[in-house]
Amino acid sequence: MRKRTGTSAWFLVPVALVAPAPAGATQYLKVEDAQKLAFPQADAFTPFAYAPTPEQRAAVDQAAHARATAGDPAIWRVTAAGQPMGWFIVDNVIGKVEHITYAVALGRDAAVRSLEILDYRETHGYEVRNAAWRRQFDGKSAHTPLEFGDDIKNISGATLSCRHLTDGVRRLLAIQDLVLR
Amino acid sequence: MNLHRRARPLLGTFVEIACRGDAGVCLPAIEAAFEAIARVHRLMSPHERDSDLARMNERAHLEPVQIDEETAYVLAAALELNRESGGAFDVAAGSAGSSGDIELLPQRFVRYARALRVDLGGIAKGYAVDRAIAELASRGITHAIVNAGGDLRVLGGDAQLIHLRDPGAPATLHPALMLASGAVATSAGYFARAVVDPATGEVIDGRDSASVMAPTAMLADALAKVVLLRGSLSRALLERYNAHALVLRAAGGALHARWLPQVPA
Repeated sequence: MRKRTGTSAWFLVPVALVAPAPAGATQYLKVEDAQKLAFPQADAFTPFAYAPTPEQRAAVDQAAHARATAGDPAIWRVTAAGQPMGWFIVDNVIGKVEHITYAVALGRDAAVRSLEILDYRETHGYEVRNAAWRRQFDGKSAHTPLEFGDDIKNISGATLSCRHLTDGVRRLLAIQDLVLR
Repeated sequence: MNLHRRARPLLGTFVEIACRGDAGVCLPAIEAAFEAIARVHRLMSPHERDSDLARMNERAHLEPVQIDEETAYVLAAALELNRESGGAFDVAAGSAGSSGDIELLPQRFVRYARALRVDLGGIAKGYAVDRAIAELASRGITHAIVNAGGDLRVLGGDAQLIHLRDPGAPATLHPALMLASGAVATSAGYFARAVVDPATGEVIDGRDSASVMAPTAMLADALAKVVLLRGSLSRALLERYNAHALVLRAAGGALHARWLPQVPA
């Protein structure tokens, strides 16, 4: 690229000591908590056996414009005092570097009532843990109130697209339309 | 006092809100903050039908189009940044014209001198983060982080460790900055969205990333694009907006870094 660089301001970031880092995983909500948030009035979440016929599966693929990549979703029928309130669905999507578990609540009108990410995992292949590079943080507390352990990180980076998740939601709406009755 | 974290897909990316305080205060505040971001999405996404952006791009070259106060605010900021950056920041880049063809008229009317495809993607995400932070603060929250796909802002004076991706290997993270009461945004070509140079129409896909720290996420978001394009030529612009940049460059298996205008105190 045509970037004009200055004279001497570049400095080398030492990357000699590279250690494997665990995949970062953040749990935002447990399934039960997400259920209560989405349907506070509900008194029963009954597991629904999602067992589509090959024809239904093909119809869902076609309506969603994509094939499932991470298995079938877990589905609950939601009721209050025996009356149907809608559906609660937990699904996974796998992106370039991320693996996401998310929950969608559908009302009786099949509209999306809520969409929450339950788990977000990024595969950080390696992380630099170099003493010289880290020294610049000496005397500053890295574990201030919002930092909790090594697994939760504040990352600034170019935008990671949520297209896979949007595709996933479209697929769940197709399942609702074609299979859930 | 507990830490509450939520994440939702908005603005074409993942938005995370972390907030410290009692659940009774934090949870409704987080809900309101997500709603503020969703509102920015509805107003400024070029893909949402009937968004201000969609209506502008469809009709503003034919007749003045009236837009929402929030969209007008972001558009005015974008036009100012276009002038201040000598055209490097351009929300009309990649279309037939430039920001100079956009006119913001009284009473929030906007007019194009020719048909344009304006995209506020390079600034609206940062603005949405600022709106979310303002919503949290107005509800008495004193410690929070809002992160929209890497554009993030810290509310409160406790410094937070910020990790940057290695531009040569984006799955590798580097602990790089401590940030309190401010914002940081990063531009790079390593994921889907690349930056287009308005001067040449060229897509920047080099092995650089530009991270800008600024008082607001809107400024950090926009200035990161300028620094990625113009490098050290953006020094005066950064000073004007009280901002700092950290440029990372992957070359020959090594990672190099450089601060602009200088290492912040």
